[in-house]
Amino acid sequence: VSSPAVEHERLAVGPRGHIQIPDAWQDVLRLTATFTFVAFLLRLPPTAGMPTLLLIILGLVHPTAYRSRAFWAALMGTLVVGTLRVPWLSLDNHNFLQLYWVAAIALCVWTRAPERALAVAARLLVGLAFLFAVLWKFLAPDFLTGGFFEVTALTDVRLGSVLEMAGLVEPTAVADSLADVRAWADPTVTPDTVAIAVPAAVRSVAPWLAWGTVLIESTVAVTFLAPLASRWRWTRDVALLGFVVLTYPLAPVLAFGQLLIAMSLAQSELEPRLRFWAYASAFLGLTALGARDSIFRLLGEILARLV
Amino acid sequence: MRNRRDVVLTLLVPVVLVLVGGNQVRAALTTELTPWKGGGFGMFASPDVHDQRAVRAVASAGTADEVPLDVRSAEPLLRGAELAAFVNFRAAPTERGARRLVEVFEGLDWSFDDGAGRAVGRRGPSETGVTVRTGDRSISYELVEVAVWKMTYDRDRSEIVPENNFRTEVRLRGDP
Repeated sequence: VSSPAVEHERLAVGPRGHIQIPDAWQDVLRLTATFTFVAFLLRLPPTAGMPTLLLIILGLVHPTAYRSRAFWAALMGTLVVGTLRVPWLSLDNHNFLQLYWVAAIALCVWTRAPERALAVAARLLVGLAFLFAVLWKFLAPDFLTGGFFEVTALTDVRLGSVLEMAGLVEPTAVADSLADVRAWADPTVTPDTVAIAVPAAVRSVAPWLAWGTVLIESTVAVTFLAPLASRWRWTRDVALLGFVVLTYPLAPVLAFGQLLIAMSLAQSELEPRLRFWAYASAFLGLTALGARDSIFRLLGEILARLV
Repeated sequence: MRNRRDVVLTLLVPVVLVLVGGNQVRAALTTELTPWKGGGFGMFASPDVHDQRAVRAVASAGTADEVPLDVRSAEPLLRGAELAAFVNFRAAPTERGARRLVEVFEGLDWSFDDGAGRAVGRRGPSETGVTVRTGDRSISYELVEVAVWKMTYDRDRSEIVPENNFRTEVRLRGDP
């Protein structure tokens, strides 16, 4: 990345109301915005009503909307209104992060150096989100023992389906455990304990998974929050992309992963070509992972017709 | 970034994240808020998942006459503020949330079937309490006990253990 002083000598001049950013950052902001819009579209949050949806489509199809202050202000406004209209406790954590991210962009574009302001905001938002996530890993009583992963392997469809595909969990085990837990809401019976058959492989690997999660999340938090010297800033990209690659195949909360990629891209100081390929590959890989079931289903149908 | 306005514009959202997250941690440690909800990034840390919590209710008109209500049957009928009352109570049960939820139950049409009152529709505003129909007969209940059960895990026994983390009685009319 060339020095900010040099970059500001060649600020892009756009129409009135457009953000003025150095040429080198045009592509970063465009790609960050595109990732953000696609992440929204692939899994529309409950906070997004029709106005938000229309703005996101506009952002994707209009060549310079992402550089308009009014556009980001409108997007933030519709998301804030949408957030106020849904039950606060129905929101997932990535819905909060989506709102924070759009709000951060909408505010940073009013600064004198939007690219630097957005990089700082992105770094802080990602670092703080991971700091809280790590804090909870220590506060929750069942996490560090591996207990959380054992019970989640047999009650969470997302993780359970991956373990079922790997042959580690019986095909109906997750559905059976879930049915037993959901029976606690049956008013005609008293809630009773549910015995789960935790496979030996899951039991032995669970504590390692727990501490591995703490390690990778701590690494992201520290690298993003610490004021690193420029020669060490690549560690942020490695930590975040490493987290995405290691985590989301097992816990496919893809909207969260895609948003993290968009945010991390905004702060990345990697060499431009490496930055593009690293982040685009991660984003597309995650998107393909989301389409995995659909692709498998489609291939199955094609094979069934051919055979 | 020496300009004060730029600093505020840049740091405002991260500060909001810290305030919301800090408040969520405090609330989850001091109340029955599930770690998964409230914007504190407590997901994938605890088995106490909000949508695996069970909300149970029993309506009574006295010591002898009581009927369990199937809250599961009510959930698909709820919209807007009513659904918010249910979702918020399940994720963070409080006395106030319990009263709000029971008031929602009051507006539903309950029919006695297979040992419990099942919500089968809406009946509009009521002044008579939670009313359960049995054939041609309707009984109104003014006292409703609501409870929330959450998942805990006993690793030594490999058992998911239900824990009743909230229980209260709501009287809809008259003095307790």
